Amino acid sequence: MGFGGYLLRRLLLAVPTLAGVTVISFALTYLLPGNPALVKAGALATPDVVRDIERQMGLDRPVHVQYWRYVSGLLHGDLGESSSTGRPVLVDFRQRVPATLELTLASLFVAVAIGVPLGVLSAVHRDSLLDHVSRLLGVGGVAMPSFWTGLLLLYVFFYLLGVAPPPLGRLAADVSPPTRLTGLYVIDAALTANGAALVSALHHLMLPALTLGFAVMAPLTRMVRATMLEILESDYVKAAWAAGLPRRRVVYGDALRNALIPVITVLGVIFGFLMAGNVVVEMVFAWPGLGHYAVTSLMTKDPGPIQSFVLFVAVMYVFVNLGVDLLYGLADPRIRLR
Amino acid sequence: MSIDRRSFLKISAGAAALGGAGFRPVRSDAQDKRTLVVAWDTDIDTLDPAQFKAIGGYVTIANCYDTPIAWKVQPIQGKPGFALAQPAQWEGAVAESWAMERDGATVVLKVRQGLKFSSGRPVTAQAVKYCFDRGLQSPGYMRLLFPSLIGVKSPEQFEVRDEHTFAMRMEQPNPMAMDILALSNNAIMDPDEVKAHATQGDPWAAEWLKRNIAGIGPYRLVKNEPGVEIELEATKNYWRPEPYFQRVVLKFVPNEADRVLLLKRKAIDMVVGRPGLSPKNVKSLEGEQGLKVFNVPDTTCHYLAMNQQRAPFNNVKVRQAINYAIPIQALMPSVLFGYATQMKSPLPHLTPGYTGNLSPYKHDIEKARQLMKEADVKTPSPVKLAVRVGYVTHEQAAVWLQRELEKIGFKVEIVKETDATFRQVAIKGDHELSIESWQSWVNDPWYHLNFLMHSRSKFTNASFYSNPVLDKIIDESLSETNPDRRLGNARVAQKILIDDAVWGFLWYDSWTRVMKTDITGIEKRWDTFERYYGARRA
Repeated sequence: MGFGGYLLRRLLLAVPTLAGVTVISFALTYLLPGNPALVKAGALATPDVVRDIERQMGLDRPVHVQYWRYVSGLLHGDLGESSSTGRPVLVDFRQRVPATLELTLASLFVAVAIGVPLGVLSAVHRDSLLDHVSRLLGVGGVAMPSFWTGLLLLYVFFYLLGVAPPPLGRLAADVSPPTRLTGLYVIDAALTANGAALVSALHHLMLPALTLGFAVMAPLTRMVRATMLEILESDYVKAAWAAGLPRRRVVYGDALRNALIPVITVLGVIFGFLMAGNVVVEMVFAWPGLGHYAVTSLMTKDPGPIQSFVLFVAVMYVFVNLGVDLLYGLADPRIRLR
Repeated sequence: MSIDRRSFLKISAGAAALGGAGFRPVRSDAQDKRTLVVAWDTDIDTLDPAQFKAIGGYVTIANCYDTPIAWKVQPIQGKPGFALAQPAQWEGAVAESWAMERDGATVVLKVRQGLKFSSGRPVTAQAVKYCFDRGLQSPGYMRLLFPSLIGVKSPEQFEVRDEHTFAMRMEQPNPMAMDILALSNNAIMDPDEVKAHATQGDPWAAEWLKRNIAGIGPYRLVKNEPGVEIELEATKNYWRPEPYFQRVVLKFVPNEADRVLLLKRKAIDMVVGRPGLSPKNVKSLEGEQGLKVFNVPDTTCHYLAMNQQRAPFNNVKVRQAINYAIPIQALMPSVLFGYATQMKSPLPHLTPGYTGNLSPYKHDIEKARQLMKEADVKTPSPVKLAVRVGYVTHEQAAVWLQRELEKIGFKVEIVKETDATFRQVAIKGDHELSIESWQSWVNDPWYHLNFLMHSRSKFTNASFYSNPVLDKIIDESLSETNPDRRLGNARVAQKILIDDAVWGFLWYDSWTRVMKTDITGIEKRWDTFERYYGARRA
């Protein structure tokens, strides 16, 4: 079976998974305590008003009818409405997913750009000062809560030094967003050659990406270091050394490439984790992403956004895992996609 | 092993690449003088004046729509730059004047001549009637308030006398009428515009009005990006002189620590919200160079609801004991940092009729223990104390209460609940103790007591207090026009409620705003939401 067939099979396999997820996300909002109609009805609510809203939201119907309403809405592209923003969930997602994605990609970039070389160097220079420092950084990144790291960075770079922008979202107040192509400001600005927006977007991305990147760098570094150590001890690397191949080619060509497979897996996990779980950093930097939106919806038990968020995360994991599997093939030619 | 040259270069290059982006000078805060930048943590839930719940919705509506009449604010002595609404003082807005007929049972409004909607259509008495008809018949607050409080039950009671004269006929005279007319829910909108968006299933265009504004007001909404910002722009050719601030930008900043940093760095002009800053943070900003704190007493009540459908809280002695166990002298400085007033009555201390010398309660553990003994409660009595997640002062007060209540024989478990859960559990009557808050938009004793103490107010009487004598007093007093009787009855009701220890009496919030020193013209009205029309930069 060719690559196309493989892809098709994987995508088809995702369908039952996603169907299962719709059941779970629906059951989750159905079973969680709290009544969204009460929040919607406000402080002066009377039983009649609440009943009206329940009827309007369909909460008075039997559970299977409610589920069917949800699924058929979904199939028609109707994800419901958010009671905190008053807009269709789809519109909110269109605005927020790119913001979260941009931050996630930027932090992954930070984590990879620092974490992978650090891991390699730690392995090559095992037990050196650099190795200890990298371990310290790793422990620090995991141990320090990211809201604290974020606030610390803000305090130093925004408040004391004044070099970072205020934590007020993705662009400076006097810069208008670039023409929307992907929704990722950095990419859109670069593609449309909008210098001011590009600079402002990078400037605003800097601290949150560092905060988040620092938090997830540790597992990456550890993984690279451990795998590299193992590989550097392996026969074929020894053979390469013995054959007198240049150091650089052995370490970065043969060894690192082989160390990448578990790294790709970890990256996939980190990516999913970042997309679904960077609530705290988004809060600290007033980053208008999905995290804060999901939390607000949970507090008010707003069914549309919660269900859509769960579904979104599930879909994303399906694609991340698929992406990871495809990357395996690139990293290791022995792996055949079947 | 040492680091070789190549690795060193790589690390340095990486570090430089990361740091490089940072070391670029930030544009100074030299913003446009005529732009007010405010931080808060709310979005617009809906722009339908009958239906908003979020502060974001309320503030936007209050700044983009005029009401027929408005609460009048007066400067405060000793606090230059600030103004406050006073009881029973109103001023004309869309209506330039008003008059009473039938001894106050009919309110006649004279619509200001020459007013125009943005469409160019004139503002007429018909438009005013349409908005009241809509309020009475579409889902939302007015459908609840008009019939139950001022006896307006049918659209026929709203009458157009001529192009510029509108009358509201109540069943009988009612002292609350003017305050109810001043609520932002009575926003005056363009009927033709609204009707154009009505549908068969949605005859009042609630769906369209969720996201659109069709009114007349000092500002118009030019940008609404949830989670980012709301931008208001001064209305051109507004009937009053143009506001000083041509632009008001309300930035969404969900993290309180950020709001503090932004203020300290003067990157914003002001923080608003309820509360935009916790008392502790307000305190820390007092005396900060370039900032000032505005702080006035307010009507928001915070109280310990004791579910009287459940033992042992159905026993008045237990409720009294709890009132003697409240460590108010510790809560004031340690939780509220002085930005509050001790609650001595179920009525707010700024409300007409408030009587502050009826309450015998003070922190007295011995007395509380004695009462618990008389109540014959089996101790330790396990009890759950519910608070809402994110209500900082409630969460902290709960810990203080827990400690004191354990001294008198309770075993207190603090339960934190989300908004949705808290309300659901409360309404089902499943809370035992909970910390609640309430703010009456209409500053009237009977508006307040009707919602919080009447046995028919199922969803707002959080203590499930039920007393036929009090119900009767409330029913009689809601439309009592004789001021002596109206306020005299309020005193009787307070006596009953305090003797019955209906709540654990906690505190009234102060209304605090922290802003740059050059901001003036900040006004507080009874609904606590700011209108930026009068604000200026000195």
